[in-house]
Amino acid sequence: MTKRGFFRRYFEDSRYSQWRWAYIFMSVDLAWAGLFLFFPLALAIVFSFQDFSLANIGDVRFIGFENYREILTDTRGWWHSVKVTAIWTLFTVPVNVAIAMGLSLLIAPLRDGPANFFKGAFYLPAVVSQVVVSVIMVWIFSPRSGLANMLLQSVGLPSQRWYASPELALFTLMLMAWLTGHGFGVLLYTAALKRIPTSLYEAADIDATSGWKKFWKITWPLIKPTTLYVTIIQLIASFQTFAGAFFITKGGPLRSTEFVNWRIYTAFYTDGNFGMASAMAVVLMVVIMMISIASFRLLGTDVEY
Amino acid sequence: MKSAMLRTALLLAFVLAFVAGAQEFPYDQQQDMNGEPDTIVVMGSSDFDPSTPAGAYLQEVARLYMEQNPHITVQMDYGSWGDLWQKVGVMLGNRQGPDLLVGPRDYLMANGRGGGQWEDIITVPEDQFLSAEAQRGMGPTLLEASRFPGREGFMVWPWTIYIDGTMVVNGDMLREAGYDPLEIQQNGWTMEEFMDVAKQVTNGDQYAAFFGPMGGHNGERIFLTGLLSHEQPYRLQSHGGGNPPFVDIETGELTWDQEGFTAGCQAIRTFIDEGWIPENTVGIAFDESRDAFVTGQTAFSFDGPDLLNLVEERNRAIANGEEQGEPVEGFVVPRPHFSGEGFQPVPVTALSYGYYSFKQEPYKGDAHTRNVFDFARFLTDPVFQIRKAADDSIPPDARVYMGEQSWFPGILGTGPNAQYLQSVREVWQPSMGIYITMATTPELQAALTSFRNEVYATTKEEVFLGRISCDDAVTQIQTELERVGEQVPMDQRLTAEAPAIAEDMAAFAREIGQPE
Repeated sequence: MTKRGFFRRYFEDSRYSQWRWAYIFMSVDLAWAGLFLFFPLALAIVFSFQDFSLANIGDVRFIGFENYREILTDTRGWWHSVKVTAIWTLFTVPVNVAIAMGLSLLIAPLRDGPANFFKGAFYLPAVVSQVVVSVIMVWIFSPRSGLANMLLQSVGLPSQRWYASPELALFTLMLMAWLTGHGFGVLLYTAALKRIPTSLYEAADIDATSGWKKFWKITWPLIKPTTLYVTIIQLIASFQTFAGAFFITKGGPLRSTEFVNWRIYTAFYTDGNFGMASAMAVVLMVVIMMISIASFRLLGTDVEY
Repeated sequence: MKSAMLRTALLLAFVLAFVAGAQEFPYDQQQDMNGEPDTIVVMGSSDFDPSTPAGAYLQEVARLYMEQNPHITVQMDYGSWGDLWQKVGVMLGNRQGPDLLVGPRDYLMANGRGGGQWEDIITVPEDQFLSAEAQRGMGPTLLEASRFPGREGFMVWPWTIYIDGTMVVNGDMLREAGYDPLEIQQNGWTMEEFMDVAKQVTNGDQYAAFFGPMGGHNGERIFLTGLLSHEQPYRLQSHGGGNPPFVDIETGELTWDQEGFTAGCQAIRTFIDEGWIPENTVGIAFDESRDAFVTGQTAFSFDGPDLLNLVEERNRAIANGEEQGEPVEGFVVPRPHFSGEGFQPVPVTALSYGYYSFKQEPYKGDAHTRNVFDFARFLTDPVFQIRKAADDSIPPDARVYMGEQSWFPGILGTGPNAQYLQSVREVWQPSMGIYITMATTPELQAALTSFRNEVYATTKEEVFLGRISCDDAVTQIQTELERVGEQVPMDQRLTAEAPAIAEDMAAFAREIGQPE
């Protein structure tokens, strides 16, 4: 059978007609993902097994798991950045999920107009460039002339060094994440809250159920799929955090904001060690996959869809 | 219906193919008989940005070249400094570097990127592309880029020189403190004098000696003054950026200048403890620190002479009524040096900016390489450099050296900064950090890169932040350096070229009057 014959039969066969256009439209996305996701991913995996850096560009060698061995035994470098990233994740993910949920609960009873306004306002930082967000945050948290210090001084509190202090730098970046990182969650939660049948709340009202009990017995179980999704998205984003370290702290001071992604970046761009950076990226990918699967298992067991 | 769609699609595909083809070779219709159509990819930072005077001028030069050589398309890519080096790193990783890159050697071959493998990525000028006469004409700048025994000049065309080891001062503040910037330009100054000025100019929130961002400017550079001015054998000195090499390439021992480090360390602590560097500026962004000097809030900045451009720009804006404030009279002067026994003036080093030509995989052919070299010669022609200097589109320091052919006495005018920069011509030393790196093995380079990032830099930050004393810092660095020694045994530290490099550095040290 010629190719032409195959495609003609495929396109004219009514059994496939419902899928035909689906595949055509999907092909754009698949091509995009193939070119910019799967191909680079495959290359990164290949590089991760190579001794490949700017210093030996003419003599790239296959070295098996050597890069991985070096990474996993590098207590001062890699594991330090893992620790920083873990602390970051521990404090940003639950807080951002809670903020998104809390704001959505406040927005949900509002009429459409005000609700849309607030949803738009909270989502705005998500569509603003990270560069712009960082510049604004530097302006707010500048140790010398920032708005945050002006506010502290106006109520009689001492100024802080914020991102220039090893103790406060990570916290300052967390503040930024808490201020700007919940827009997507708010959109999802408000949509989820709208889908909960009002009859359930009416029935609870008849039984004189308290607000707190209504939340735990009705709202929480029914928005659990959304919580799962928001949590996983936040987890992935938190492991990939980079903008604050790149634009504001450069991983410092005293390496207090040296996230895993910052380490990958410096290994690749500053040290020119492509093999090592690729191996780090692969390890990060595996960790994110494992945590996502664990989150599904943990949070998804009694989800009511 | 279907056939109509098919016809439309075919027509569309034809039009697209035609447009794409036309875009690829815009000069197809005009090509001369001697040349095949060719595209030359040139990359730089703001050098080619048409929104700047220098960039607009270079774009115009490129346009002129294309007019004269219609078969050539010159594609000038530019971006921010950071973006440039990111892109170049990735491109080199894929063995597809640009045809030409304008940048300093020390960035291209930064620590950790080796230095021994240059010939793998950079096109070595060969007689067929670059005549002996042209090579001679490049003068002393090429020497700096390529003064390695038995090696060709890897920086194919010197473009400008960036001076390191100087600083800028606010003339008015210095005079008020009883010091003459012109005299400092001529005779240099000691750390005691420097501290005296710092003490006098500091006035609470209004004025400070300088601000203290960590990592590369002010705070870091006053810190390094001790290392740079402490007399050491030339091969052990801190070159260029100021970090010690941490290895003696003559013996393979891991060593560093503890005395010089301590002197600089104590100086920085004094500045912070006395409030000459306001504590709330330790760790601020570089731009904020530079801006403080430009706007007259601080007396010093450990920046290169290029900061004077920003000062001039603001002064002009004030004169035109576009900005409020007092103009600043900026001077470029030598950095202060310690005056005790064993200390010397901080040597002024020069970093060459120039064009690099990269090997291509697959090789694009001799005709392409010839075109690239021809365009670079055209772009670096002295005629255009005169024009750039006259336009004020070259920073003051960058006009100092451009090779024998393109050295134009008098073009700087007669101002004191111009005179000082001209005098630097007699004393500058090349930055030899990369050369030293070339004497070390990849294993040692990797270990020292981690050590610099994770121990040395962090320890200096701890000093800045007042976490540890200078003595503790020395102990900490020494202990960790010994650990590097355990990781990389003596016989795995140096390359086979190390003895020749060490010998060459000793010979050069004798030539310039530095300790061997």
